[in-house]
Amino acid sequence: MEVEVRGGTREENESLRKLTEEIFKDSGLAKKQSKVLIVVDIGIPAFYVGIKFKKDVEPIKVGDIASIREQSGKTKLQINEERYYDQVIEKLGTFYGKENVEQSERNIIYINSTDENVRDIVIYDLTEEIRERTIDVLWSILPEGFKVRHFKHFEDGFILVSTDIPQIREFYNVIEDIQKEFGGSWDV
Amino acid sequence: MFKMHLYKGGIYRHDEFIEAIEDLGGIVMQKTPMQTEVDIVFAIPEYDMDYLKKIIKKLKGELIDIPFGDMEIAIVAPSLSRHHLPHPVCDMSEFLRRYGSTTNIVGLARGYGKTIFQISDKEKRIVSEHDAAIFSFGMFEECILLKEKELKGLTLPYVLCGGPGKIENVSNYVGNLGRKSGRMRGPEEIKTLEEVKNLLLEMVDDVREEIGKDPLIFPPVYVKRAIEQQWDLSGSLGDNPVVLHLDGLRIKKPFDEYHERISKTKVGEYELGKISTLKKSNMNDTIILTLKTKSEVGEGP
Amino acid sequence: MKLYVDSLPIETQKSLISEITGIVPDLDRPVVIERKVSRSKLMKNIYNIKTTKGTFTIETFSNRFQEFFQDHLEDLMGMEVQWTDKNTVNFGFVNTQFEATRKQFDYDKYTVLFGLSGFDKDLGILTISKRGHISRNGIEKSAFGKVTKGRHILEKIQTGDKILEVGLEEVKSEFYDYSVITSDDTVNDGDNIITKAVVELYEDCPFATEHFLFLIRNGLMRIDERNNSYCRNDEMKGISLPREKSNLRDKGSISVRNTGKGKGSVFIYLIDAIEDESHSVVGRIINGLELPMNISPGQCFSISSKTKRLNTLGISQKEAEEIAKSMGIEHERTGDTNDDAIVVIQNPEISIEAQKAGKISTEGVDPKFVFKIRLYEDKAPVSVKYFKTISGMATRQLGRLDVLIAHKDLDMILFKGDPKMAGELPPENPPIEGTKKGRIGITNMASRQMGTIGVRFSDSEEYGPTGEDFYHTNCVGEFLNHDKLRDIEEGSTIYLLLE
Repeated sequence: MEVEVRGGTREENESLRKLTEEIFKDSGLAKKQSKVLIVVDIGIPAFYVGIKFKKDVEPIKVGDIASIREQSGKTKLQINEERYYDQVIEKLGTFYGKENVEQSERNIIYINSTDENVRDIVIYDLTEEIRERTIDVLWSILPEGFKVRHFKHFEDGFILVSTDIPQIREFYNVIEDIQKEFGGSWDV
Repeated sequence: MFKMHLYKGGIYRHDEFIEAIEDLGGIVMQKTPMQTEVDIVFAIPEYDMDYLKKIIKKLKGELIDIPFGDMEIAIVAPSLSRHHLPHPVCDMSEFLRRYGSTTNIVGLARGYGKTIFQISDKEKRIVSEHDAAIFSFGMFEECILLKEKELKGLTLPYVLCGGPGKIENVSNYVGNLGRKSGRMRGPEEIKTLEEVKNLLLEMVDDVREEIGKDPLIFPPVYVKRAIEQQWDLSGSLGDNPVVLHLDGLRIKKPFDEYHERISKTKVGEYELGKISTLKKSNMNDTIILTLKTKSEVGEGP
Repeated sequence: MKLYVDSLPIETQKSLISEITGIVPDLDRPVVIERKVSRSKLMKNIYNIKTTKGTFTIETFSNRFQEFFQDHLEDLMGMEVQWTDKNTVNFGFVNTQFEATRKQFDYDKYTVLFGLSGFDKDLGILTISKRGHISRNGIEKSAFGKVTKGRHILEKIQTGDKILEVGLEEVKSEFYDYSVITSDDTVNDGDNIITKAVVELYEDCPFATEHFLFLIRNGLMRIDERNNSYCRNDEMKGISLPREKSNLRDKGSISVRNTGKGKGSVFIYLIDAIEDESHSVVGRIINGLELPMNISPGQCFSISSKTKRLNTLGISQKEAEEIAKSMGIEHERTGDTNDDAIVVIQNPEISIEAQKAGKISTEGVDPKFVFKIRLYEDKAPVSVKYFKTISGMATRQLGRLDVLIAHKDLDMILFKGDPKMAGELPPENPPIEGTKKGRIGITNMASRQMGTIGVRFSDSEEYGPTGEDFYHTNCVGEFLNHDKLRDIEEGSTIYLLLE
């Protein structure tokens, strides 16, 4: 993870950078971002944070956590990871209808049809959770008490503005700057 | 003026040490025996430290100064959220307690933010009840300067802490103490805490000197002992019902119920009510007792 | 030549101390001479301001405002309080030449400063700040001092009060130099020869007072230890006393320690100390504190008390009656009422109580029960202390011993001891060359019968006075007239007087 802070004096930037790094490490999220950029504007005061997640974060599919076999017209799923039981049953239910999904044992689920694509059903998107948890962590990094929070989400990241005053033109300029810098799908 | 010290030594013949303190006009505040060792916290006038040191050497004991032993210090955080607590406020609090201070952590109601920072009149009064205060502010110089302006009117000595190493024109400032995500355990960080302690010590010495020019009628430790001997204060908030201040005491008992009793305490040949003023504290309904000076009672010049 | 003896002025032509006071100072018992060194000293920067409500003191630091203050002291006198508010007290008016400004300034609490009323140079005011405040006082940063003493006066001052007087503070009126004189010497004009300390006793602690009076029965007190806080005498250390009323130990106070290892020690305080339960305050030195303050440990000084000790133990009934009569106290004889009977019990025994009651009764016994003894304080100090404590001679001049075993056929007499107390009695001064008759022996901690006191009526090469061998015997003293001891019967009591 690369953290960059701009806007204050060198000393201030350095201490905020250190703090950010430490808090991310403590939260266990330090390896999920490729870049964190914080721009400080003490005068307004406003904090801009741009965060870009790493590309290698893939969503979890049924095939990743279950061994799948066809058995007399039914599909048998033996689930290896306990923590995903809920999500699997819920996702399969919405896909095939609740009446077609049957949990015979604790870790065995039958579906009353055969479907090749069952493997590719996304049961859990980690990026979503990381996004949420990253935002949570940011609340403990950004100064307390700012009244306005404004998000702009992208596929692999987001830009956050935290400030005391309602939107002004200045914000868009900075946000655009960060967008430009991050590039790729962030193009203006 | 009384100063507080800690004696560490063997339990064998420690009674001789206690006798020496009593003879020299000192007060044993607390005695903690631990198997073969004993810790004695005591207050003593400074006339005969050399004589006492001789006795301590004879008993193979150790003498440790407790410079803040007779003080209550407020450590003020802008809020009680994770941004400002527990680090470094708790670290400072814990560090000063090692030097004998009673520390109270005060979280302001609206102390966060740059433009919306506020310290209310009541909060100022609560802080002013203490002997000294430490304000823990953020990591940006501009914010600290803005917040510092709001503190005008506080009459007690206070230290400002923040992230930037140095701020010009603010003499009572200690840097490298901004927001922390972990405990302050490194040698550099402990050095910073020492800096806070030393700065505070300097300021407090000035206050002591000022009190020395027009001394109090009785030392607060003596009044504390008189109150504790004459009234049953058990069941108070905390295990130390009477807290020492430089110019008086805080008695952790409801004002309405207790202030009449307390003012009847006999201290020397006086009634306590005549040589002090009792006031309802803004904090937790306790009693703030301020001792009058010798000139005010009419004993001094 | 005009000089002072114990602060009383006298006119004399003599110049030797011994000729003037009749006392020859020596190394053991010196006198102290007090000499005036210099006259009063004025502090240049501290002023006392006397107002109609009281006096307060300000300490100034030098700047142009302080100079102005100094130059206009006379104008300031008589100034009235023009107005007071939450933060300040303002005295006016005085003509100034200061530049007026409309800026705001910060002032700490208790600062003294000048201001301009209405920004008018001619309406200068002397402002004293009661609280830290920001004000538009008219002159730029005009603080020049701080109130140090009498701050409470500021709250009382109201409009209409006046400054009566402004003056420099006099810090110390006189300085004295003390010298300890250990040999006969000449004195100079104006010297104060301090020969004795005079004590005034309180009535709160009768037991401790009796203890102290016994210590100074010869009019002397030795200093065994001295520091900045107190002088201490350890002659009677170790004697138990009851816990009595404690008091503040002000400068000059005399107190007796009543618990712990140092119990029985007598202290003279040289500073103001707080009260402590472990000290019974018996009185204070009203004159001549300079003696104990200046002499070194090991030296003695004369001390006298206004309250006299009344103790008739050990003297004849007739003498007791005379003493009581001279003090104006009623006297009653009991027991053996003959003129030459020796008084062994006085009721009440405490001097203060006896004088309060105005009446004593003395019980006499036949002089044959009273024996003179000599104690070997140098050779057996621990045993002598034990013996004195058992016999009660540690706190009174007359001792008593209860007979334990006495028989006509037995060649010795034994007295009751205290085995518990004798547990700390080490072997000391054994009678190596054989026991002489009349010697007093104590069985020491090496034997099971420790503590027993005995006397032999004939010499012995083998056994000590208590019938133990020499290793178990401590020799503490001797009876001067031991022959009569043979007639004493078991169960009776004998009385002892020091030689």
